[in-house]
Amino acid sequence: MNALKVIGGRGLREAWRTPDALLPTLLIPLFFLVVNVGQAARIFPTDTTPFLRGQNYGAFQLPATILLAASFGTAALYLVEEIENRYFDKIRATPVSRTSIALGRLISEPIKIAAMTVVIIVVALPFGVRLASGIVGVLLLVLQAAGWATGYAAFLQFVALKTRSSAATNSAGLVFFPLLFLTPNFVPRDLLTDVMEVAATLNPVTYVTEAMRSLILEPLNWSAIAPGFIVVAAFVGVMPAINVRVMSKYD
Amino acid sequence: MRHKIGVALQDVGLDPRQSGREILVLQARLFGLSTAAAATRAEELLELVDLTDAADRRTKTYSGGMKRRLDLASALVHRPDVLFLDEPTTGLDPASRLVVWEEVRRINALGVTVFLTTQYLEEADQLCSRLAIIDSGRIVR
Repeated sequence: MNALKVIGGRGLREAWRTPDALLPTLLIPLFFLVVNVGQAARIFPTDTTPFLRGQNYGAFQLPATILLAASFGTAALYLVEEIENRYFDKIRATPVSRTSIALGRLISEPIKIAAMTVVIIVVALPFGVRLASGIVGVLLLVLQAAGWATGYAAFLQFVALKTRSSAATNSAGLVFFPLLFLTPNFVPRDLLTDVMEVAATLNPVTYVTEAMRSLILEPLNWSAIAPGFIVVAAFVGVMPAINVRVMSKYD
Repeated sequence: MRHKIGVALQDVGLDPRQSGREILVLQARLFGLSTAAAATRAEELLELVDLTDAADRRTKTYSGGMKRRLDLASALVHRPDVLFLDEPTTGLDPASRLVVWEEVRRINALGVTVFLTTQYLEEADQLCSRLAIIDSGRIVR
């Protein structure tokens, strides 16, 4: 536990000290938000678009922005850098459990993304976005984003530990884009074509997006929120466990 | 076993985003020292390898010789009985090599057994009290 805290603390310090790595993870999702809203907002005016529930199109797009910000997995990129420059071997030479080494870096990820989600929400507020589920909804939104970020960083850490290559780890990060575009990103699921609807239904990211969207557009609706949390819980449960397993065999 | 040995590999592995002091404190904490004890140990080691002035600078600003000395110090945080040094002066300029030699002598004088591999015969000549020559993985002399 102590080692976990020490390694986790270093991860946070590292994030704080590298704003050049942190800022793009905030600015790029906000850029996509502006572009997507700019392209589609006139097609979906608030007055005549029932699925917006009285809000503007920015509110509908906000989950994709938050999820994108939560899917950079910078902790894994730092890890692979350490593997390549051999500092990782130095950490491994200490008598700390491999579980602590595998999980320590992940600790900083949910904290970073929780803060970033709050910033994104605050940025969205002046543009008319409201969180219809209230303060509990904000907390759930932040929790869900932080959970997703942990799972995604663990997925990238898995790639880093397996390949020991920054190029491969960076490339693996792009996996999120097809997953995001196979969600009901621009319209609700029932307005997608049949093929896209099937793809979106099979895509676990869909449920996370829909849960986040529900938290933004409507009062607490557990039937929409729960599937998203189940997906995130499974992701957070499985990916770090795989990390620990890979780490225990790492040589 | 890990408490008994210290290792400094041929490639200096340091975190460029941390200061020399932070690296030593982290290493000491991972070897089980308390926060206060780790800070004291880091201070001692910074003094030993003559990096006190640069202690709070991030290691990405260090020269090759300074990085090597910090690497040596980080291998000593837990007071190992035996220190393994894998070609500790490879890639260093002549002045930095002399400084590292001096550090190795100082560490040895503290009672640490130093097990050093090198390709430079004059380095072996300068530093080693016992010598073995390895060829193709076998001790030939």
